Amino acid sequence: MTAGVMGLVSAGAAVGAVARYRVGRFVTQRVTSDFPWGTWVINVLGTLLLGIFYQELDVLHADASAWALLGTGFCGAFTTFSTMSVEAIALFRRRPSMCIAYVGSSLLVGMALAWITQWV
Amino acid sequence: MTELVLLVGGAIGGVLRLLVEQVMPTPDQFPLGTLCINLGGSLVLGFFYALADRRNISPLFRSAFGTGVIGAFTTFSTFVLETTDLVEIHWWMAVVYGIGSLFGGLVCAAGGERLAVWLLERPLTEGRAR
Repeated sequence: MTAGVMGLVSAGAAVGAVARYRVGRFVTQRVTSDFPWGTWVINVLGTLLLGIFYQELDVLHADASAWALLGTGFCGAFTTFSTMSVEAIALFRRRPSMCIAYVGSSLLVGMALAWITQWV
Repeated sequence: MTELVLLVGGAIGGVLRLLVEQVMPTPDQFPLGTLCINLGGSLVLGFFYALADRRNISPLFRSAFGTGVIGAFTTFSTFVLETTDLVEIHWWMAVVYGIGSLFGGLVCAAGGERLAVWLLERPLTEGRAR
């Protein structure tokens, strides 16, 4: 692995983390619900983006630099697994069925979108 | 200021993820790297937030490490794409990976939280005995 790849991933990840913060704040300011819509929207949206980037950059154009910046860097850091886990465990204590719906729908909706990006 | 520390934290988290993905093997195309990243990150985040809630940890450091480093280290989008790919390779592996990650993430987050609480509340017998 080259220093260039590390630079591209770190640049993409830096912007991805800030974008996650902004989108999360945008959503949670507008929706009042026990359901963690902020992280849900971030993860589903980021998965759709990663699916598109994967097709465009990796499969069609084999552009390793753009993939490092936008795929591994931006989408990788924009979406988050750990926050989902922590939110889900807090939700599990109050509303277990909503916890299952949260993690289950995140994965299934994400998979449906990822599948669509491969065929459209 | 928050966004500035998120830029730095996010960059660190992203590079750490890249390094782990490079080092970890993928036996039979099973994404072991992402699994370790997501489970390890969930454990650390559960631990860190439990600690931050009970001790005076500044909101800025909470954002930098929690939202920035660990948030960017773990990843959901790669996890979903890998699960979707596995469906076509060994469908049962997709089920193991998908459900194992989600359930394992919950267990690790809860475990990290418990560990922090245990460490903070355990009586310091050695120091106080004297």
